[in-house]
Amino acid sequence: MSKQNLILKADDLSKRYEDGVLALDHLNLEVRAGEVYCLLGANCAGKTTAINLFLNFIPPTTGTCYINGIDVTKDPLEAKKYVAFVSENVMLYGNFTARQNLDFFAKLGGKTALSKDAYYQVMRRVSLQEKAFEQRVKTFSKGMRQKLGISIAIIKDAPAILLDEPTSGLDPKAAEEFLEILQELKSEGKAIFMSTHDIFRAKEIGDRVGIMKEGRLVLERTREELQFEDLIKIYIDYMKSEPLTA
Amino acid sequence: MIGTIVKREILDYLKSAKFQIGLVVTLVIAVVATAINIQDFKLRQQDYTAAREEMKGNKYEVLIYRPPQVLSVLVQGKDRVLGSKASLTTLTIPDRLTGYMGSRGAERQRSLSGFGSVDFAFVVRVILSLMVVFLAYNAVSEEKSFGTLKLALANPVPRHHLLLGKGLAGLAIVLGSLFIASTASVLLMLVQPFIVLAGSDVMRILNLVAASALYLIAFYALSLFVSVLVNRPSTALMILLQLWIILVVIYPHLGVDIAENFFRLPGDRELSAMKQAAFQPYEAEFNKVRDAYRYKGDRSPETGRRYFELQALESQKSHEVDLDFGRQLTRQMRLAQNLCLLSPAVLFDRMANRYARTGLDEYERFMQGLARYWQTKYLGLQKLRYEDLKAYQKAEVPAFDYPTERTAEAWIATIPQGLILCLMSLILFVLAYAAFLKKDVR
Repeated sequence: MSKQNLILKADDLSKRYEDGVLALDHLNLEVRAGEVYCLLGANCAGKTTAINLFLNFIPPTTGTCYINGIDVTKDPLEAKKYVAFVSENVMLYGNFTARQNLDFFAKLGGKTALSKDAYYQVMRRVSLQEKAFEQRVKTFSKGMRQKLGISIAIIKDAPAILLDEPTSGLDPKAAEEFLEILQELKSEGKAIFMSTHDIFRAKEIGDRVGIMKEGRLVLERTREELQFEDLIKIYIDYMKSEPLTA
Repeated sequence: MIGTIVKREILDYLKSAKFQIGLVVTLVIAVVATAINIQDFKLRQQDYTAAREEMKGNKYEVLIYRPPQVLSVLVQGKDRVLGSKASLTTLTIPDRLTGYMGSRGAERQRSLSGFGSVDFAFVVRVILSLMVVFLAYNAVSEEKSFGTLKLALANPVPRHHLLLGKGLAGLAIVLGSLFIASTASVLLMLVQPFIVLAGSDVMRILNLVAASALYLIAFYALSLFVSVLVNRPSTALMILLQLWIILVVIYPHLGVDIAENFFRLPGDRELSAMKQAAFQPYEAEFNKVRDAYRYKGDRSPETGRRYFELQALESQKSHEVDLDFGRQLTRQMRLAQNLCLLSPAVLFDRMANRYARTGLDEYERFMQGLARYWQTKYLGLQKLRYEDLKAYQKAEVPAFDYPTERTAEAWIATIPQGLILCLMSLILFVLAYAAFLKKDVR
């Protein structure tokens, strides 16, 4: 895979919070175009911190994040042009319809001249029911909101997509539909970086899977490597193992 | 980018139940209060005209009535409570007005005065400012707690654009609500045949609306600041409601209490003693001349004139004591006002009363006009009684007039309050801006 396809890069990234907690410890990872990277780990392992650092919501203590080759800390606004984000629990503006929400976030993402049909097409693509397009979002289920969340990411058409536990709380069918959409995005060449607790789906969709423990990336495997290994066993063994020494 | 944010925010406000309910409540109260105050003004105006006609003939005890102010329909201020009747004799220059214009219709309507104090200024001071708090408390805090802030800032949106967009939209909604409420109230006034607004009145109304806007902007800036600082919308609302009660209710009263304790004013007995002491040097002569004129039958012009002069002097001395008391009272009031400089409600009240001519300033102006009238016109008339009785009998009671404050003067006088409100809003916006730039949006 060529260097040019590198979309997301964490270079020796660390984050220590004001209270002294080391949330991320020298993380190094890369995600290329057309690749899905799944980051596994228990709560407080540092997965969300990594995403927050990529989105420049918090400054790194050491190291650098790059999106499309742009240093996120130095030029956050430019870097954010190339990344879309889907959170664990997509909350949108409840008084607005699905289309109005999509329209607002599309404009924030720089897509200012999209037609109603373009919004409808994206919502159809994520299998949102037609009747929901012009419904107020406050009536939506979590699954519907997640679909709308991924619509927002799709319509931005950024080369990188960050997903923070996007299937958490979804029923199996909704989660399956969600992963199908990610597969499509992957085939379109998007670099997808997803934090998750869901080992099964990480194995299913991930081209590479990383396991984090106490802020450290303790293991990284490719899809090919995982064909010969039991990811569930590896993950559980890591979780059960002794705490890492600082 | 800012346009997109402003548009979304405005739409969000317009769709929210809190805005719709707030606007309806504001409109209903503004219209009902204005309608009641219009009827009250009509009765007071009729009473004023009738009272003036009836009392024209009495030359010795001249009754002067303070006219009701047309803008009291919008800002009642102290127009009713300070009294409106002054009785002038050689012996008295009134230090304060008493009573109402006789026992007339409007007085019987006082059962409405509980609602009479609810006026446009009340709508702004209480209803709209509360509406502002309810609109803005969650401007940032709710987005933070919901996660929409994180989603928005995952895009190439500068933070200051987001806050500016929110601020502009909030201001548009607040000022729009104010515009609707004030337009409804003024239109209701304009359709009354007995209310004629002069050009200066229109200017004063515009100034009143501008002062209202500054007041509401200050509350909006405060609400936005708290909303940025606090992550939980319910906590932000609680803090803001407490601040509102402190700034609008508690703090102004506290200022008055402190000022009253700091500046102890003489009571009625002390004032009476001071008046007696001021006239003491002339007391013996006064008694002598009075006895000669009234009891010993000395009706020579010299004695009569001297008796009149001493009576006038006693009134003058008494008035000087009253003036001094007035100055102390003013100092006490100024101290209270200065202590309350950080209350937007106090600043707004001062501006509103000034523009509507229903505050203490206008009252003082009337009282000064009264004293001048007593000295320059009334005494001249009474002097004739002792110098030329025929001329006195033919003479008519001189007309009373006093120079009301020009709109430009009122505007200049309220610049400090306006500047403080502007500065307050600016500081709060800057603080909100600085806090938002550093806000942890995770």
